[in-house]
Amino acid sequence: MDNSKRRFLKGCGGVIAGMSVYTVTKAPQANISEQDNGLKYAMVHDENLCIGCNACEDACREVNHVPYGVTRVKIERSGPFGEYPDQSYRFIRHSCQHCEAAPCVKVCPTGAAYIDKETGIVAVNEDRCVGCQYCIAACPYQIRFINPETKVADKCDFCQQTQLSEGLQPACVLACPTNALVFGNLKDPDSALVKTLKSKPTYREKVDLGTRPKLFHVRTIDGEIVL
Amino acid sequence: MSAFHFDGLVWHWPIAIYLFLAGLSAGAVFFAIMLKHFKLADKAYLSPFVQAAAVIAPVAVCAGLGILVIDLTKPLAFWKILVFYNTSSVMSMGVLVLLAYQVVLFAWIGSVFSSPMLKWLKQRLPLLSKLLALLARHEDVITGVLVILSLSLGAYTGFLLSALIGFPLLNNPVLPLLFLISGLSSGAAATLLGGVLMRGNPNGVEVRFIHRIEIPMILVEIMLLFTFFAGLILSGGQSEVAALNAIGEGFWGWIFWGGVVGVGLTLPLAFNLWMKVSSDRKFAYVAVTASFSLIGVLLLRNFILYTGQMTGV
Amino acid sequence: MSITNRYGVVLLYIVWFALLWVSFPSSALAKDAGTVANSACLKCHKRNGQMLGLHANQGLALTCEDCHGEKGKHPRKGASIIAFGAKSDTAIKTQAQQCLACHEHQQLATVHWTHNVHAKRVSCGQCHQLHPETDPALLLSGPALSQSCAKCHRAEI
Repeated sequence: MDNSKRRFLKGCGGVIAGMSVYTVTKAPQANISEQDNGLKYAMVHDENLCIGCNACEDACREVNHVPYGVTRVKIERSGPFGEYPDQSYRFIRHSCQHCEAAPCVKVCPTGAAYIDKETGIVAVNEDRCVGCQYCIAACPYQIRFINPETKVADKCDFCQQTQLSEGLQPACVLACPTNALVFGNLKDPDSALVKTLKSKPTYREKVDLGTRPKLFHVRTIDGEIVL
Repeated sequence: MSAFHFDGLVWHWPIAIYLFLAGLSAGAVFFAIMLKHFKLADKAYLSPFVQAAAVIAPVAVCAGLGILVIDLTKPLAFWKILVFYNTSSVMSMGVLVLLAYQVVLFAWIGSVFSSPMLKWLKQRLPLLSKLLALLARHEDVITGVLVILSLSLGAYTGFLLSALIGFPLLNNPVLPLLFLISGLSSGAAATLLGGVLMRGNPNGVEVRFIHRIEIPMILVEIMLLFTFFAGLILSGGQSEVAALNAIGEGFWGWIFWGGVVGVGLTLPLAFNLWMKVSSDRKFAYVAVTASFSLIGVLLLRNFILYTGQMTGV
Repeated sequence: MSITNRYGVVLLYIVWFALLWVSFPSSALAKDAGTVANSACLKCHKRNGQMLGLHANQGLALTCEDCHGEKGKHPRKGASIIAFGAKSDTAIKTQAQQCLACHEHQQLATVHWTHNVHAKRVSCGQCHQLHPETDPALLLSGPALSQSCAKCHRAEI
């Protein structure tokens, strides 16, 4: 009995060790291995150029076969600001931010959500996804959804499967009538993307969460200053 | 916006039930081990309370997992979660814990009930008999591992939610502890309820033992709940908004104050304190107290799950 | 004699129905006013003067002048006739005022938010057409609606 008691206590001590495993899993994932091959895709949405026409959503739906009722990209309209007839609206692009430290990738139990090391794109491996919806709950930007046809967690992948593989720009970028969307390689200093980022002040959403998103926004001149 | 349907809601009540059952299973096992270790020793298998825990624990954890699998959008693909692992995912690590927990749980049941089972087998299945004897010999190791695993499982139900960084009410360091303690108390309640239903003595040594632990545990739970919400409110910003949304006026405010605090904590505490004076415990008393605790914990799981997803950062 | 007897009641009914009949803008009355259908304008504007859409509803009893303004010197120079659409010389504000006489801008905003942002910049006639049977702008939805934005909003590249 005495021996068993000692072993028992030893085991209980192990509880603390067991608990610490969890703290390890909670460690920030800042150092996701970054393979440097000079390619890292990102996007800028210029709210001043955007007119809220939804052509991006329509194009995305068609190219990526997104069923009605769900969408990979949404232009969130707020307003009107000002007095009639001098009114304006603000348009914010709502889609995957392709975080460098993506919460969805961190929580996915099967590795179905992953960061493509060659392009920096946060992608979905449909075969691995079991539909636990942990990623949907974990995404602070709430842009993931279950595709009602495939039953798989779905989201924007910068058209990696469709347009990029054919050497084209993402469908939304091509469809935008006012060129409010700029897509390109962050690591190429001559790319239109980097030039835009350097010439216009941009912001990213919820950076305080440490997600390091790669969807940049140019803040609208109109609209209210929200404190 | 209604209480059960709102923007941003991803996980519904089946997840709350799963979290409840997993915590309950862990708690039941934990208390059965404590009963055996501190009170019953070798006669544990004769106690209806240990017997009840030995039934409740595996049934609850299997039912919880069943609910979880059915709740997947691709239930038939659930095996992939057992094949592919992601060390940074709380859920993936939880699956490992659950698997190990179930194996060790059955081993522990085998070791605790080895003598009656060996008697009943009478050399009929020599392989099974050998296995049982082996388990009985290593009972102390199995018990130690199971304690670790049950506590891990209880805490895991909290970590699962606290890993969601987009929701200040869930992404909270107190949540795993709160879920662990409330899971343990629900396990104690289930053990008591099952025990008295299996004709256990409501005035027996087991009930007195568990009730003695229950008072400090309820006090700790109240303290944790207080810390949980005080911490959120003092953090300010969206954390404060989330906390006040949850425990303020409205459906979930009623659930919290009436269900979690009132039925789940205050009444069992009052019953327990009152019972210390008079000595004789009746079946109805034990059953009602245990039922209140169980209802309280189930409501707490639903309350945290829903109000947690109501307010994002 | 009290009006509660049967003659009184019959009398009340007769007066009531007479008032009701007079109060209706019935077709008989409407015909006397110069509606679009028999307007003198149609002598010249045989084709583009035809009014088929919702605004031709006889109950509205709209005349050409109601929207296009007083004839004045038209068709000679210096006339103040209001023309609608993208090719019109009439100021956008003047064009819009004609429509806003009946259509409240708050109401329009609830139907589609774009009314607000275009209020000073685009005339109603640039998107809407009243004369045809159906207004093509009302039929736009989904991608077709998005494409119609791009007719004006197009980056110069």
